Amino acid sequence: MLQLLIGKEIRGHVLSYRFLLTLALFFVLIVSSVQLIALNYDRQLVNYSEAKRAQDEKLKEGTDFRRLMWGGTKVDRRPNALSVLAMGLEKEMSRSVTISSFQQAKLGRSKYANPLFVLFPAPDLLYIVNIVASLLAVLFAFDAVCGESQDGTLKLIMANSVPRHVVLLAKWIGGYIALMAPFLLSVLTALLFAQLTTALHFTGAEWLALVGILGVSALYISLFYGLSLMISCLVHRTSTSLVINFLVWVLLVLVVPNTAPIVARALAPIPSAGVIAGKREAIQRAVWSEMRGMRRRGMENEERQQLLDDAQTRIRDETDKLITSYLTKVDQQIALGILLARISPSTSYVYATAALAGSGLGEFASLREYIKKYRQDFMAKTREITATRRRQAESMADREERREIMEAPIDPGDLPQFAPGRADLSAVLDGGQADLLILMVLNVLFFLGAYRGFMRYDLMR
Amino acid sequence: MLWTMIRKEWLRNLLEPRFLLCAALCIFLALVSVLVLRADLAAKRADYNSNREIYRQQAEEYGSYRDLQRRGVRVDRPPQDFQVLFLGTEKTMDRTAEVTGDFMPGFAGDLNINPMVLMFPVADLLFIVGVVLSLLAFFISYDAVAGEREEGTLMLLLSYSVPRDTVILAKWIGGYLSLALPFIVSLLVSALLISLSSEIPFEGQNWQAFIVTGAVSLLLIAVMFSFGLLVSVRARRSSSAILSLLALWVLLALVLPNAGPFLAEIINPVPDVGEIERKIAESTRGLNQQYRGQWRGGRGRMRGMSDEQRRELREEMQLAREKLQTDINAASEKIIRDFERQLRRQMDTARNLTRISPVAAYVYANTDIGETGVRHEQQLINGLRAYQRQFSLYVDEKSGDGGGDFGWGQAQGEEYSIEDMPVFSFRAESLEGRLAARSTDILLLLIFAVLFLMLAFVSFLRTDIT
Repeated sequence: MLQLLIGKEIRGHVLSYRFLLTLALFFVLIVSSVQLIALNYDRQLVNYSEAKRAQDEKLKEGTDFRRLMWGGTKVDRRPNALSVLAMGLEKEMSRSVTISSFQQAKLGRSKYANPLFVLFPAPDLLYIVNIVASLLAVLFAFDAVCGESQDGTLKLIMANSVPRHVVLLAKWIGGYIALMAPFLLSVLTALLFAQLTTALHFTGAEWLALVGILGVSALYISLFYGLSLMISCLVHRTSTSLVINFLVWVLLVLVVPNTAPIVARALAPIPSAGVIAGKREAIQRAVWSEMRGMRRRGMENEERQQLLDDAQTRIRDETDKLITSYLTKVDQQIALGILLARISPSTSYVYATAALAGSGLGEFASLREYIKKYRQDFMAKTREITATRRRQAESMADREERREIMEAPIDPGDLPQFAPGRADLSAVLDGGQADLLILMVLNVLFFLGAYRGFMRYDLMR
Repeated sequence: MLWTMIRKEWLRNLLEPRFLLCAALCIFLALVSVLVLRADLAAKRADYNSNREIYRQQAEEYGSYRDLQRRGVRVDRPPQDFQVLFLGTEKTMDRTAEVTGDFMPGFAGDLNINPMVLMFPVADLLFIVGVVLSLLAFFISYDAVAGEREEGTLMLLLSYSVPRDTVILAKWIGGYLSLALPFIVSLLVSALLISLSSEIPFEGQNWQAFIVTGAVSLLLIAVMFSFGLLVSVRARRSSSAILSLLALWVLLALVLPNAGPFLAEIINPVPDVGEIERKIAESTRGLNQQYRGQWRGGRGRMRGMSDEQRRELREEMQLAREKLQTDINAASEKIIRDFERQLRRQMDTARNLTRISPVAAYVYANTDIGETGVRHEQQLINGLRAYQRQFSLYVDEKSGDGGGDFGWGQAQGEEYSIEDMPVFSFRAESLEGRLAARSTDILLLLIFAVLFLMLAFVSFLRTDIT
């Protein structure tokens, strides 16, 4: 019985104008979006390898560690293949970072970037599913029950010996299949096409993450489908259902997620980066001026070195304290924003997908930490190599030889490699538990709401 | 007759739940967005002011002009008042620039930021009008003709002696009013919120710009409404009209504007920033080597010289160093300017490609009139560079007084005071200039509105009413 009803539902959908429209829309949007961003990714990849090569060459030519520490070296993060599907913060993370002892490392868009990218969000798969697919899900289900009731066909079905829950289940399954089939077809075509024509290539872990992304998308689409079905079970006119559905959709997808981050920024203010930079310099100045005040004349070399080291440790400790307290505030703000935005499942979807694709908030934070750690490693390594060379040079009597040792070319292989790792899937899923849970719970809730509404639905009105 | 019909249309819309929905959503969204963005602006303003003090103090504590030249002063992006309405490029997190003696400055971001805002588009007035209201315009217009035709009331109506042109005109005016009035109310609410706030110094020209952007918004609503009406006239059933319109909305408001920059990058590629930076480094190295080759052993040469000759040589070297710096700056500037020319061409391509979408034209027009757009971005950079030149002139002049010795630290007998150091101040462009720059977009919107209205009008004259 169920199968029969599902078949009927699917046939009904497939023959409708909206199915045609959905198919065309999904196909055109998804294929062109993936292709467009994959071409962009292609260029990024070329630029990345070019930058890496140039950097290695520059390092090989370099002979002066002091200058290297002072002027710094540039490191680039390898472009993320999955960002083709979910851009997220990729543009912020893919900029080359200068690592030097003199300056704090910076992240963010390049100062020469095209500002049009700031003006509009990227039309990636995440965006298409978040907005277009959810809208189409609403369109597929808004008249599922009330429309049939209005046409009188619902009475006809119910006149047969079919239990109500079977009818509802068939409606849910049939409509969902009719909606997901064009979606999955388009995604597969897009991926196939992009893999054939561009350098886009996924590793095993990335394929897994891709499956995860598609799973979360399916969950998100079914959520809106269920919500819309529920509303259609609660009202009796299609026009009313359409109005309510639209209102809910606009609020959930367009309004809440886009307002929450700014509300959070206003509710939990953090000191600006400038203030922090000022405080940092104040710490340095205070320590150095104290140093300067001390009497150094008559001190042994070792004592002097000790003093210098102490000062540096103090600066580091105090700066760390400052930064940690600042970062706690930033994290609090982010947490508040996420909390506020989770009123809408759209946010949960975006966070979960971006995290799976490795372009989300978590990845940004870990990249930030990685850069800090890398900077320390890099400085330590250069200091170490300088010290070793100095020791070697001390044993040499000849001035020329000493200079040769000190100024020997740098082997890029000696320096730590900049390769921020990706969080593995289980960690991502662990972090995204709340989002996944919200999506699942809402799915169940909406279906139960639809069930309750349909059980009590008045067929005679 | 027309008046009666308009009244009828208007009353009919007024009594429908979707009108209420539209009005409530419009006013609620405007209220929330202005309140939120106002708080955001206040925070940015407070940061900007306190940072300015801090940066100045830092500069004061350097203690010598050489340090000042080398480490530079920091400059923050001045927050734009119009961000309460159109956040535009103000969304960027890259807010601080370091202006030093010798390089083209730009705004950069900090490592420790909250990047959450970047993950979603922001619900500002731009988004409310461009995305939400254009959807509502379709939502109100989709069954204006198709619905009445289905119900048979259109036949009834036309059985009276009403000319068809009056009917369609009345439908347009009545429907448009029911969209425009809630929007005008929400504009007034925003204006009230802005004028009540002490943090936003909106003055004469800003209010003029406010009115202009409001008018452009009304124009966009007219375009979208006319388009919806056209589809409604041509569609056989109202359900197919709403579906087609939704698909069109997705394309026009959500996809086309966003795909523009990506498309332009493929059609009109520009070299990567890293490549540009490498080019600059290369040319700098070349010039440096040239200089070093010329002056190698300068100190050694001094050994056998008299004081007079030494001073001459020193002066000569100083001049050569200054020339080297100018040469490096000029070469880098040329490379960057070349790059920026290409980038501008790319942006023009993106703009021209996406202008088919009225929403994109609207975004370009209103962000530029509100000075939160691409044009402002370019002017800000130009302003920053002009300031850099001023700054470096100032430092040169000051350190020139204190005897041109090499090396770090305080030169002998130098008095360090930066009381008279130039201050970065960004001067806004006049409203006329902004309008002139965006006249194409406004004109395009006007053409779209008239075109769609005319098409709807003509289609209705020939439509089958049964």
